Amino acid sequence: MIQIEKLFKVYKTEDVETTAINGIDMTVKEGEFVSIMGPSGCGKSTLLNIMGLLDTAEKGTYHFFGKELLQLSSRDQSDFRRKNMGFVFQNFNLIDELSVFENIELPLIYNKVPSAERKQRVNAIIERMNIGHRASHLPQQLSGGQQQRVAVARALVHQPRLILADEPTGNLDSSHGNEVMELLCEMNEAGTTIVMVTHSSHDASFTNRIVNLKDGHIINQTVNKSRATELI
Amino acid sequence: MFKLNLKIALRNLLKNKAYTFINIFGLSAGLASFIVILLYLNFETSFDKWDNQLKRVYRAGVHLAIGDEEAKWPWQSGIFSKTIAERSSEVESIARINGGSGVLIYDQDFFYDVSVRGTDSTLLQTIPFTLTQGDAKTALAKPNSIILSKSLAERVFKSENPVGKVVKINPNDSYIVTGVWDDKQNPSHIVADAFYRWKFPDDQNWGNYNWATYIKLKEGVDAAKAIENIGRLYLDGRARSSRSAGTAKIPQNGLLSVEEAKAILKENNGSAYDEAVLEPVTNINMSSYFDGNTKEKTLYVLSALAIFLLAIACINFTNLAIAQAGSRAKEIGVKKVMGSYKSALIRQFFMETLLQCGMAFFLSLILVELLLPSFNQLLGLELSLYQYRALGFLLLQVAGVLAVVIVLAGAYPAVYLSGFNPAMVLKGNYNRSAKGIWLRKALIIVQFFIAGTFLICFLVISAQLTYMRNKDLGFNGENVMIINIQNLATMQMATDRFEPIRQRLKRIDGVMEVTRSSNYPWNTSGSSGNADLEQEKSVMVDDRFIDYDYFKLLDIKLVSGRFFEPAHFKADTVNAAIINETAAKAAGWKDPVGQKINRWGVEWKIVGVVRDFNAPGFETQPKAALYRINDNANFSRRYVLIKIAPENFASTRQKVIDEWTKIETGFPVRDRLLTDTFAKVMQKYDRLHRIMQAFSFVTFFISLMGIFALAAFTVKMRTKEIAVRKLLGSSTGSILSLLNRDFMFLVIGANGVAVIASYVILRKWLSTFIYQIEMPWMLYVLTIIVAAVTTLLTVSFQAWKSANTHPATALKYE
Repeated sequence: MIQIEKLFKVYKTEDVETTAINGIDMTVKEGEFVSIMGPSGCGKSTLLNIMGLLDTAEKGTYHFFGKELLQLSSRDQSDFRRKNMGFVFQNFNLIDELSVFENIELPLIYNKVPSAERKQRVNAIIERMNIGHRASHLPQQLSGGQQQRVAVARALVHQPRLILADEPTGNLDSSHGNEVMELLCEMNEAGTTIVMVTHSSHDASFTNRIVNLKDGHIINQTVNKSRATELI
Repeated sequence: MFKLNLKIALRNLLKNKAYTFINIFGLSAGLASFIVILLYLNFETSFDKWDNQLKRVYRAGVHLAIGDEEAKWPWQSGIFSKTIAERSSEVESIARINGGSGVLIYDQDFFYDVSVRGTDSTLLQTIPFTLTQGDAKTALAKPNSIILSKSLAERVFKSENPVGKVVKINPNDSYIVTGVWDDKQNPSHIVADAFYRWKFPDDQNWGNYNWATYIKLKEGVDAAKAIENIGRLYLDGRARSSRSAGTAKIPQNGLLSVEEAKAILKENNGSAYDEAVLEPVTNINMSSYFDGNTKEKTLYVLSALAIFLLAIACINFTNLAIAQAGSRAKEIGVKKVMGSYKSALIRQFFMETLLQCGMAFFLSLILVELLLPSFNQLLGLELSLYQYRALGFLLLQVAGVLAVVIVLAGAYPAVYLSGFNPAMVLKGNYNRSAKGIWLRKALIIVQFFIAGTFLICFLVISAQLTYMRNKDLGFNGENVMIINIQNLATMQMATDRFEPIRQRLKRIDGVMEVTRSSNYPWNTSGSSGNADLEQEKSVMVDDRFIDYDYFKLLDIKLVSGRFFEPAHFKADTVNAAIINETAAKAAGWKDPVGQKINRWGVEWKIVGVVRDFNAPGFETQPKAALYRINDNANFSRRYVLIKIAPENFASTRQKVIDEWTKIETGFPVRDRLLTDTFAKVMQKYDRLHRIMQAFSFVTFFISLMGIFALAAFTVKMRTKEIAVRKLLGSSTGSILSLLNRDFMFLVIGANGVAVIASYVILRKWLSTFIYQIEMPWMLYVLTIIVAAVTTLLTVSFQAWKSANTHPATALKYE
């Protein structure tokens, strides 16, 4: 599904050049749940941002089902992102001025889904996430766990082919964290491909494969035997 | 999406109430002033435009220069009109209007403060006033017909039908109302509440420029050519009539060429310049050849003020929108992540600006309704949102302004906000590069530059006005009451016959002096012209007719010779004259007393010279004046001046009024204080003063709100820095000074530029006064201090909160 080859990314300030990604090759198969791990500054968030087309790369290719994405115009990248990707962030990033329902509805509006169908799909996912009684609340009125569930719902509602999650449990306590991880596993089992950046090996244990990064290189990859079986 | 964006916009506005208030209120203050000034502009430019025919109507006047003296009068002679009507093939009709009288009598009621003017039967053919009653073709055809303005008709006749009623313009002259014109729909530079048919005297003298004269050209005529031809007819007549005065030979037959006529006039009259002036009536209200373009200037100044105010409001809008950017960053990031285009975000922010501008617009309409009464009072107008020029036209203009405002105020925030990098903001990093802050600082400088300039101008104008009010005018008009004489017989009463009346008033307890005069001390009689001296020289003098004790009453000092005195009754009332110092200087006399001066073919002997005193407006030097005491039917002494002792002023004044009702029976007494009439002269400066006051206050206030918001923003941006500094032991005081420093530089810098700008403006303004104050530098310094102190307080208010927050809270928040 995803094929990344010889990817380089350099951050430049006035007098320092930092190589964040230093020639990474990586593939992600459809239906996989991959976690990216590594110490702070190893380039894992940068890699995720490039995969989400939120950042650019100096060199390298990024194919998505054979389609090269890095060369697209920013408008085409926006279109691609809108249709194919969903995002989950550490700090939830719900829009404070919109209710739970409206936040989840947003990707459908951007994808020009008709109103009646939108309602139906949002309600369906809200039920699935167990936040139905919170639909008209504003994000600040929810607990962190609930907010992250809303964020996951928002990432999933338009049925993207890829979900990118950046430390989704980072701001949650362990029980809420587990809930979110179980949710992601459920989604994955239903067929959604997920790439997740995490610090936590506990979270990583939920995934099929762990990619370890250091100084912009992949130093090793481990297949999680307990979870990988169905894919192999 | 639109609905959702609207929801986000509204919820954001509600969330940041202070920000919303500053933004919307500032904009609506700017818009409201703009709308008021638009109303005023529309009103002033609507004069004499109600009918297409007015494009063909011209007012005739004259521009003369004799020696060093120059005169421009918007009047022409009777023979001019007659000649043009007979000899010009390009003129459709011509009508004259006289100075008229100030009273209309209906039944037993006297209506004062009206302008009732005599005119030719051709008036309505020349100036097509819209009659709501009566027929324009016949309304002024009969000798004793009169037409009234709708306003006057309503005032006099209430709900009665005025047509056919008999009114009088003095107790002896009756007129029948034959029509009513709609003065509200016919705004005109011609001040008149009624026109009556008048038989103008048959006067052959081309030099008697007595009548307002209106000429309507035929349709399709080349106006420039027609005006040229009329000018030539004037010069021809004028040159031929100068024969009696000089020796130049004049060909008997044919029309003189312009050059010939001018040469003759130069030789016979010594005139350097002599021309008929025809100006289109459509321009007169805004800018006239004769009355100058003060209205045009006022409108320019007001428009500039309104544009500045609007600019300040836009700047605030921009600054505040960006100050709020942090709270929008996440939303922008999320939307971008979901695949929103940048252009869609730009559209969204423009829509938000539109929303706020729309709210500001409605608020501004309310403000206009609230402000209009005081603005009207200030300028003596009757503007309304729903006046004669269609409301639709105004809305169109306002929509245009609104569009410009939306683009100016919304452009930078839209581009700035939509430029957030999602990868950054979604990680919680809202800080942007330092580039934006420079623009915002520049905007603050512009704001304070404008506000500072307004403030300095306001203060200096105040100082000049105070100076003018307290200046020694060369006479003392305190405690002088003026009674308008209403009976022509009393006005034209000879000096000796009026003397018993004068003495009768003087006997009243508390009355100190009594005299008569043809005009207020600061108004000219409306008559001035050449007075010839013996050595073939002439001076332009103002004709003034007075009575005994005039100079004593006004405390005007005698320089040489003597005042008019009953002891010299015979000589004084035949050919004695008193001149002022300016006249003596113009004549070049070292010892004027005993010199002779010729005016209207009569030789006057100078018996005294008085000190100059200040003529109207302070803009011009005192004019050469020729005072006479003989009676002259054309220049009635229509004012009685009575100096009253300050003790028991009110009761003495009442006694005078009681006495006067016995002297002039049948009229209500019309009296006022001389100082009140002076206030009218000051009025135009007072207006400017009050307008500047309002504008400088509002701009300064809006600018301060801008600083307040920017300070709040800066403090928020630097929360972590402040917390770290406190952690390391910094005092509250040093944090306050840290935050204030930047703003101080901005505000003081902006005011520095304002000082230069206002110096240039004020130098020019002050130079229009003959009597002007020294440039008051202290006021410049004061302005800078005021700006600095208010900024200090505003910023410190924000900084204080931050400096006193527990550092742990701030650091945790980060």
